Amino acid sequence: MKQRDLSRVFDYVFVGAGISGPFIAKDLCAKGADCLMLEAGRQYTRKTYPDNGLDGTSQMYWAGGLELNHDSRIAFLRPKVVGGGSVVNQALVDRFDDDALDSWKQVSGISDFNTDAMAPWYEAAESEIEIQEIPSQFQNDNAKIFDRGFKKLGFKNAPLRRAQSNCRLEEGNCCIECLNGCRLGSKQSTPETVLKNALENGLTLVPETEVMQIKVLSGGDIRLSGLDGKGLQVNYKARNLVLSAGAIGNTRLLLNSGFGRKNSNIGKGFFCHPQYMSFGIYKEKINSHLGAFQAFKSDDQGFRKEGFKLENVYAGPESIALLVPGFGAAHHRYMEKLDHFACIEVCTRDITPGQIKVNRKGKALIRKMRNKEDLNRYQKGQKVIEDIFTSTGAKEIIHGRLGIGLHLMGCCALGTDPATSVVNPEFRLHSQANIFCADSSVFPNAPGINPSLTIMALSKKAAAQILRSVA
Amino acid sequence: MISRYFSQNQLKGLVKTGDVILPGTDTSPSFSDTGSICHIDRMAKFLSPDDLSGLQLLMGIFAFTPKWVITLVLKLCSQDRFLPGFPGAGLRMLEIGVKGAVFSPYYSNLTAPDYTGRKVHEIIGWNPKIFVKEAKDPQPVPVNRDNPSPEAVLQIYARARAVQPDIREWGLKKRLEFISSLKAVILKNRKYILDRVQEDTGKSRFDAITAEIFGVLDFLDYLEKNAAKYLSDRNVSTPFALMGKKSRVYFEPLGTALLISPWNYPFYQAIVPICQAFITGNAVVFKPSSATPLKGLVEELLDKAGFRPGWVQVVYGRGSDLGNALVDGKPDKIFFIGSQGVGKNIMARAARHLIPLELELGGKDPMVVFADVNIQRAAAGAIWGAFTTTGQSCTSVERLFVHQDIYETFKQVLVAETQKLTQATDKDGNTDIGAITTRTQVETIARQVADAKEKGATFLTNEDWNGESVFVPPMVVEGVTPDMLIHQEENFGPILPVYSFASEAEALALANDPEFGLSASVWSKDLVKAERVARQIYTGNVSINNVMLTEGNHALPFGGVQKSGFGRYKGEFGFYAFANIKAVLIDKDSKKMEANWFPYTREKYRLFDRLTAALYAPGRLLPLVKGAYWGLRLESCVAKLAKKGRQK
Ligand SMILES: Cc1cc2nc3c(=O)[nH]c(=O)nc-3n(C[C@H](O)[C@H](O)[C@H](O)COP(=O)(O)OP(=O)(O)OC[C@H]3O[C@@H](n4cnc5c(N)ncnc54)[C@H](O)[C@@H]3O)c2cc1C
Repeated sequence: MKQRDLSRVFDYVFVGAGISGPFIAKDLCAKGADCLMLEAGRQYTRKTYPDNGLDGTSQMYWAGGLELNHDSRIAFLRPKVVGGGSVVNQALVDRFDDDALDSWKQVSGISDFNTDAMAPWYEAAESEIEIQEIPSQFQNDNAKIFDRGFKKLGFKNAPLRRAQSNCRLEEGNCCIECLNGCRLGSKQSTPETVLKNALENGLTLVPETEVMQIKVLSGGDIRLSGLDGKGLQVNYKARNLVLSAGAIGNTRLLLNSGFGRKNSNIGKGFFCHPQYMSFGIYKEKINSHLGAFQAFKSDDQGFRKEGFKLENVYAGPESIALLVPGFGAAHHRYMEKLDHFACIEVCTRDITPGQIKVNRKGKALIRKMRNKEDLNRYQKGQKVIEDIFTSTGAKEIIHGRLGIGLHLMGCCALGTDPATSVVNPEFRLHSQANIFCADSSVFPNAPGINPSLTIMALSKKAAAQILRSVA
Repeated sequence: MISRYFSQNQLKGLVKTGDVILPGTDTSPSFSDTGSICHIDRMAKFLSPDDLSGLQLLMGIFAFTPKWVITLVLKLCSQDRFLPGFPGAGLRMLEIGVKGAVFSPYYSNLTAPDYTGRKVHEIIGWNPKIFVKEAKDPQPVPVNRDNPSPEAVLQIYARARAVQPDIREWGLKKRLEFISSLKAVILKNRKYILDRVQEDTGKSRFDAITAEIFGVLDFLDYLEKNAAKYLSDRNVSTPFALMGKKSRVYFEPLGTALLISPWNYPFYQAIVPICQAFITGNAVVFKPSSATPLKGLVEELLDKAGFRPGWVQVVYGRGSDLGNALVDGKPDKIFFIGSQGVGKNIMARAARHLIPLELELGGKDPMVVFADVNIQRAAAGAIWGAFTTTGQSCTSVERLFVHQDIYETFKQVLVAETQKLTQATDKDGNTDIGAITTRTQVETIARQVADAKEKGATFLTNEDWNGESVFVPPMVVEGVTPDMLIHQEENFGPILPVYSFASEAEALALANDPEFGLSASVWSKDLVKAERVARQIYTGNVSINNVMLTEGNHALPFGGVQKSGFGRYKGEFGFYAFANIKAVLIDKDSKKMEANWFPYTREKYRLFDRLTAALYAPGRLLPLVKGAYWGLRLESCVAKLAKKGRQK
């Protein structure tokens, strides 16, 4: 930013340019608000996304790739890039069902959590992006195994809904490549959609700037201080703050800025849908990485009741290598057969809340236990995967060595009661009315469903409420 | 391989661990085979400080741990069912960290540039494709460094400025790793380098190895051992009057250095200034002589040593074509070795932009031999000093003064020994001197020889030289008079005029040249006399009872006076040639005001005057005591003023 901008007081400053931030900013900027968005990660374009796993993971995630929970059994992937999760995720978008919304209503005391009241917000969110299902002719062999297994075992599955516009699969594109950012521009990441629009409407975006501290000044304005790409300190001022740095990002920032003293719920109630990948090794080549690498999800009410779902997924070889147990020649042997791997993942709806704290250096510590029931859910899911693989002729089955946390949720729970929550139904902090938050951190519990569409919907709702309160 | 984040030992540990985890099979290469370790910095850069230091520590240990122990540790890590709680978490973290560091580059298909085996992705059948329609951003046009246009020269400087912060960020210690690596590369490739040097210069193999290989390696060795000492932050004393403050000196890079070198020692004069400038953190634009470009050699070796592209750019072309453009590109420092004429031009051009420069120009170096010397040894010294590299050294002996008492005997030995010299561009090191490198230089020598003959000088050896062959033979000349060119001009060839003198005073008068002052040698058993004469000669370097030997010790500075140039490089003082020597004074934040700040008042003036008188009075203890007394009074006056302001 230019020199003269330094004393500027913005209407809204956003910490984090992931999914929620750009969704809210788009609507505020359209109404002429003076908005600033600070993002720790780099800004890429379709042309500059990394084209290999090493650069992809190290450049686009916090801590160079993985963060671990307290007992190093769950690895978290936390996006750090302009566009956040929407750039690196699998772009699966699902609305919450009655079950998820009901449980939110109960925990939060917010009656609006029901399918009817949420529907307009889902529609508003869906209108910002294109959503497609993978046509059956583009299902790859990994998807077909998933489908065949489900049919054989009598479980119900459904096609996946992906936020994508034009993958040109007929030309032979392989969507696994888009996990480092979609070079086709098909994935409906925020930089391709709402963020682009917000920038056109005057949003100031400053990438490679990590916000370290926020302070409420005596007049009510908020001062943010952070470190820019060169490690130099920068300060910004705004009348309102929107926290959109994700569950861990927001929590870390609030705790490091002393907000924990005003509300002891900050950091409590961390969920992550622990996911476990399993691989079936087949005699024939499966080539799970080719084409549309995902097409199905489980849609079985039985699974839903049992608290897990199965997904048709895959990952890059450097990630799979970490999941395949062991090392040495035996490990090589597995990897040499990689094109014979099929892959299914069980994603569990976790019930034991974790907690995020910060240490003296300000680093986030993630405490995430799994109780008997959590493990039970995972084992049940794994059993079904084993059955699918066996029934479709797998010669060998390997279970991934680590749990993976991709859906990082909670720690700033929504709720009507300040004694049990952090963010009120107007998406304002109970303890500070001009700090807003509507991203993954406001989830009061684990829905067991892909979170991103709901983050978009909540952000839409928050933007509308902010605009209403201004008017 | 040099890493910004790992020491050589830690890298060793990492490769070893990599080979435990990925030992290779009949189909797959091992971790070390692929050389994917080259890419480890791309990952390490983004690790959290805690994770990085953990990995560094562990790899430092694994460097000295046998493979079977590493295997055991990794096996233990995977027993996670039996390892609950804290120790289990630590071991799992270790396993994930180490495996991540190894798998990530290996399974991302990254290899060393010279890896020729089958690629890992091909082996594991990983071949996803993506057909991007939009054209990639246009690749920047490569910078032309071969006879670049003035615009291209600006691009070269832009490149240098763009990469210089990176050189600086590596820090001194890491930059030294590049020096060590270069040293190893040069040692390993010395035969090839010698061939290339001989090809361009025509010098003898032995001349080439001593100056261009041994000399270079010795210099790099000196850098390795001394750079940290001279270029680290330094605390300096702070006087009594500034009590409570600290004074420090930082040695920072200047930015981009332009180095222009001559053809007589094309390899030495490339590597030495390049490394001298680089070690302080400068980016380098280097122009070798168009007569001996050693095209591509320096780049190739630096690249092998791990120097990053753009850190050192070699620019080829004639000085007459490129010189102005190179100076106008506004480097932050110019370092020129060459002739007086070109030196003047560069200095004039640099003056336009106020660019600091150092010039190492020619000499007409005297050798003074007193009567008490061992004649055999001194004559041998004179012959080597005059004829090594066929006389093409700026510090060659160009005027030999011999005391009249031994003149005749000395002359006989000189002539006899000179006649024994062998001459060729040999490959086996069995020849004394080689060729003159440039045709122009042959012509200059021929002109000087003809002039001397015409004016009556006597050629004691090789008077029959045809004036054309590049193998200009060594010539000892007598009867040279001040009107001869050979007496006035730098000769830069194998011509040695011999003169006699009668006294120390006369020798000095002769040795002190009105123009030049690069180096000299004084020969006498009487070291007191020798040093006395050494002090009296107005020159930059003196060898006593030896010749051209100050250059043999890289701890000594090198440089001239008068028209031989100015500035010093090599040795301690050489480190400062390319440094921004930054003075830093550190005071604490406090309420305290300084006595020399406003407001000035009569009372303060009186106290300050007393303090000055007390502090700087002769003596040791008393000034301190008195100074302390007046200092305290002054301080309380300042404090009062700070509180109440000037009393009207
Ligand atoms: C590999 C992967 C696959 C996934 N697949 C799916 C999927 O298929 N469907 C789905 O619904 N969800 C998926 N998710 C989860 C989903 O992407 C996230 O839940 C979602 O991105 C969260 O959105 P958010 O706006 O809350 O935060 P994020 O998208 O995480 O954005 C937060 C941003 O804030 C920045 N930030 C954090 N702290 C600071 C700070 N102090 N200063 C400045 N900036 C900061 C971060 O760098 C980041 O860019 C996936 C996630 C991953 C990692």
